[in-house]
Amino acid sequence: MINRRASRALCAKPCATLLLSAALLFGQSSRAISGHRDSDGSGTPDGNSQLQDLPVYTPESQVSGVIRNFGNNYIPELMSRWEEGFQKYHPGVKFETSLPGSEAAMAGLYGGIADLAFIGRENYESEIRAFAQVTGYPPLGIQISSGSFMTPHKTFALMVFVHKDNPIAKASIDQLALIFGCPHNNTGTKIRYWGQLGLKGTWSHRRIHVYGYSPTTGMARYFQRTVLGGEPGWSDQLVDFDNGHKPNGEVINAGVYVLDALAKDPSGIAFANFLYAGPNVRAIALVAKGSPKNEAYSPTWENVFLRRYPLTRFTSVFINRPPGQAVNGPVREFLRYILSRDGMQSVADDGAYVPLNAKQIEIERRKLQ
Amino acid sequence: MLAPPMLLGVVFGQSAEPERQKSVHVVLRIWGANTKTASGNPLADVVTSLEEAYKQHNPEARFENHFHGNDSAMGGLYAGVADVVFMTRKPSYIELDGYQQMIQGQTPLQIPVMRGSPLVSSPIPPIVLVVKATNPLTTVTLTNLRAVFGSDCRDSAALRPWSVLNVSGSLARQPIHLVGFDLNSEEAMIFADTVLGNSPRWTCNYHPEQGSSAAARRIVDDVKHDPNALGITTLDRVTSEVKVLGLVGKSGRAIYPTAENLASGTYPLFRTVLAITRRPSKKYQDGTTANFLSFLASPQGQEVVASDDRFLPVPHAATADAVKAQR
Repeated sequence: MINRRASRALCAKPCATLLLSAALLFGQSSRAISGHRDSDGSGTPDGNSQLQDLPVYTPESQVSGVIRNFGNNYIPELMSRWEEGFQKYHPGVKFETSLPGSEAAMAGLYGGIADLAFIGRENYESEIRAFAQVTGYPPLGIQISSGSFMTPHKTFALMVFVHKDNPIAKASIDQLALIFGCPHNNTGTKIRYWGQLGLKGTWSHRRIHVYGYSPTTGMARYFQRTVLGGEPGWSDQLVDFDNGHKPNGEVINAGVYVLDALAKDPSGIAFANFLYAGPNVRAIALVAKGSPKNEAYSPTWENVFLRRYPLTRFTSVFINRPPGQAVNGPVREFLRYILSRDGMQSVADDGAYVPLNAKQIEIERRKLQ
Repeated sequence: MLAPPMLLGVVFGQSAEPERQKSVHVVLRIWGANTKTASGNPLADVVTSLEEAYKQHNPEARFENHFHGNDSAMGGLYAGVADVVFMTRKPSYIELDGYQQMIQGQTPLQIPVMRGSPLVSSPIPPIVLVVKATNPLTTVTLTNLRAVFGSDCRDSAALRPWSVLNVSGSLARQPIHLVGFDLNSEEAMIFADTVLGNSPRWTCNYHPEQGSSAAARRIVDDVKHDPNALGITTLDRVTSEVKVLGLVGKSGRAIYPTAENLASGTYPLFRTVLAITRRPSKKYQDGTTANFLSFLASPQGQEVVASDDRFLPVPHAATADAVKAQR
């Protein structure tokens, strides 16, 4: 059973209110949500029905030995769940687990001190290059969960927001690239006015004001890769914000500043997460790049789970697999366990990251062949 | 001012000058940038020369060299499989995060040990600004470079004309065509770090060429065919059809990338090889590494660097400043 309490418990009062209002607004515009919707409108799906589609773990062979897990410091409880669950099938397997952080993970692999490098976000190209410099071939990367929907530090999905008074319902990733990126990055003309996105009347000649995370942050890097197609240039119009700090040293996520600025600017557009939203901003539905039917999907838990919402993120594990060789032994069995209904139930029970759906599980399992 | 080896001694909490250790029993594992080309491997060559010179004082010393590349160097250090790494760029913030995740509460010690020379054969040639040879511009200030290459929402997003760089005549109203390296390249990162500041945003009018050495050549080609072009490239690819601009800093003088200006650091877009190692702590002491680093920064070590014309020694004051800044 998926733990529905997690997302609510992590949602402070203002954002819970917003989540409700945002979901109600999506109800008007999104034709993409097909599954069960919670009575509070948060879009959290019926967990049992979603995970029922996933393959149950069945050992291919009995394995023993030591597996060295290394990396993402945000998954100690989840890792314990996976390890304990796996050891019920394979009591002869011992784990040596060290989770210093995602940025250290890949070096653990090419430095020979880890079998599995867990990275709690999409990898950077420099991490793959580093591994390949040492071994001569790239590591094998396997997705092990989607990012969270709206849990701090857990690779949350990004939402695109406008001011609450802005009537726009949706935008495509291609349009966002022309708003947030450099015009030469794309073949299209830059989008600078709301009229170019189809708004009429007084909105049509209003200039779009662009807000976002500082280009050096992980959020902006993800947005850059997914929306701007990897091109490094940002619009000259982007007003960007970096993380701040409270007097006690606690980090204030830049999303707070991004959405505060948007809340005061009816002409603005921004990317951030529901976590930092107040009542004066509203998330819009998005059309994925190359969508055949031009379908817009709202940022809901379910659309993140089903990977229909385009700004859904994921977490990975990397292993050292020489080209042409199959993954064998305890590592293979452990990865098969993670990529099963059992493994995804642990993700759901942990309550932060979103489990992989059946289609994605199939894609990832094939990589082990 | 303390000499660099003495300062390093203070940092490492040991005697100042490089000295023959009573017992050097640890093999020093060296990782670093891969500068291998068809004509040689300059960084490996000079590091090997340094190791040989060090062994004259410490005959028991042993080295294992693995010049895999810049991207893997820091990881080798914090994964504990390298003792000293040589990088031709600063560690990225991701690499520093990885280091601090493994070695909590610490930053690595970064010592500049050599600089790239202006010779064509240098693996880290200085970064230069070029215009077509017929362009009347001869110098540019760092402030103007920032205004032209940088992107700030408070500035106009329009193409900047040559008049911004004080060019008059028919060129004055023409837009500047900006061309240079891919923004993820080592060269672009050094330019951004030096010219654009801590949070670099490039103008949308910048046209990046992909690659590194090949890109440098293409940039020169772009500039020689375009009277409106202002390019960022490297000195080794400059031809007579383009002109290298002098850079004007706070002194008000135009500085060119000569050996003297690169060695002194007066020319701002010089490139450095950093020797990076783990900082000693109560739990972690490594006298062998400390002794080797002290040797690198010593006059003897810098003589070895100077004997390889692809590199330039680092002035004592610059090394001392770098060490002091990290104490």
